[in-house]
Amino acid sequence: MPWRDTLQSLQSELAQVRDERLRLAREEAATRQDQRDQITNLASSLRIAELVGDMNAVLLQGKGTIETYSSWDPPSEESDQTSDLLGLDDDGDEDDADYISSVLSWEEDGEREIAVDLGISEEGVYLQVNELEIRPEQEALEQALLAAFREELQV
Amino acid sequence: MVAQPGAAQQLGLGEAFQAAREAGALAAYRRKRWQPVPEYRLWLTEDNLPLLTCEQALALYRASNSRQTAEFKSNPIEEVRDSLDFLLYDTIKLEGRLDECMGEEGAYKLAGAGKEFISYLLCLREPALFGVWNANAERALRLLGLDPGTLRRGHWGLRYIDLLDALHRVMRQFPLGDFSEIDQFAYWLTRPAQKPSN
Repeated sequence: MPWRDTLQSLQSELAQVRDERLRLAREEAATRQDQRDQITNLASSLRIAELVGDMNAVLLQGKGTIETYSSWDPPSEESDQTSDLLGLDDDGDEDDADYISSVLSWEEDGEREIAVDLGISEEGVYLQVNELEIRPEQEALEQALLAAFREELQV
Repeated sequence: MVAQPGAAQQLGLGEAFQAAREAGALAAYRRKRWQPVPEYRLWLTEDNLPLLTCEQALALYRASNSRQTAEFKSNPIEEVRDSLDFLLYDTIKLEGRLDECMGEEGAYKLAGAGKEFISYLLCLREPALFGVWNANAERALRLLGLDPGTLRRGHWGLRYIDLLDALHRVMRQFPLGDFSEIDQFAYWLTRPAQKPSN
C-alpha cells in the first residue's frame, strides 16, 4: 500500500480511538461530578455545617474556628499563583476518593479539634467524626459530635 | 468520659488484635496505608527524593489521611522535596525538624501538611523509630490510660517526643513489632466494636 494511503488508513483508525478515549473521559468526569453532587447533597441533608456551627455558637460562644475543605476545592487565592507548579488538576485524581471535611478547632487548655469527614471511597459513602466511622444519619452524627466534644475535653 | 480497660481486658487486647488482623478485619486500612510502603520508601530515599513527582507527593499525602488536599496541591514540588529532605535527612535534632515542618512559622512548613502527614512520612522511613500521630493514636492512648496529657500544647517537636514515649509503652505492652503495627492497632482499638470497657 502506498505510504500516503497507509497514513490515511491509520488516521481513520486513530480518529476512532481518540473519539472513544474522549467519550470515556467524559463519562468518568460525569460519574465523578455525580459523586461530588451526592456528597454535597448528603452533607446538606445531614446539616453538617449547621450542627458544627451550633456547637461553636452554643458550647464555645463562637470562639472556635470552622474550616471546610473538599477534595475538589481549588487552592486558596494566595497560593493560586503556584498551583501550576504542582501540576495536578482533577484529571490526576481519578483514582482518589472525594470528600468534604468540616473542622471545628479551638483553644481550651491546649488545641482541640472536631473533624467531620464525609466522602465516597471504594467501599461506598462514609461519614467519620474524628476518624471514627458512623452511620450517615443525622441522629448518629449528633451523638458522635457530642461524644467527640466530651472526648476532646475529657469530660 | 472515655472508659479505660482494666488490666484483665488489656491482657487480651494484643491477642484479639492479632486474631482480627488474621481474619482480615484490617485489610482495607492496611491496603490504603501500609501495603504500598515498599514503593513509598523507595520514593523517599535520599537519592530519589530530588526526583519525587507531583503524583507521588499527593499519593503520600492521601495515604496519610490528611484532608487539606487543595492546600497541599498549592505547594511547588521543589518545596515539597526540600521540606521532606529536611524532615527525613537533616542532622539537627528531631524536635527541631518537627518544629520547622509543623509549626505555622516553620521554615519548612508546607501548606496543608499537619501532624498526620509529617508523622506518617517519618514512620514510613523508620517504622522502628517513629510513630504515626493522628486522632486514632491519641484516642488509643486515652483508652489505654497512657495519654501523656501534653499532646495539645507547646512545641511540636516536644509533643511528638511525648507521643513516641507513650506509643513505645504500647509497643512493649502488647507486644507489637513496630510503629506501623501500632498505627493499625490504634485504628482497630478505636473502632466502636472494639472499644474495651471496664
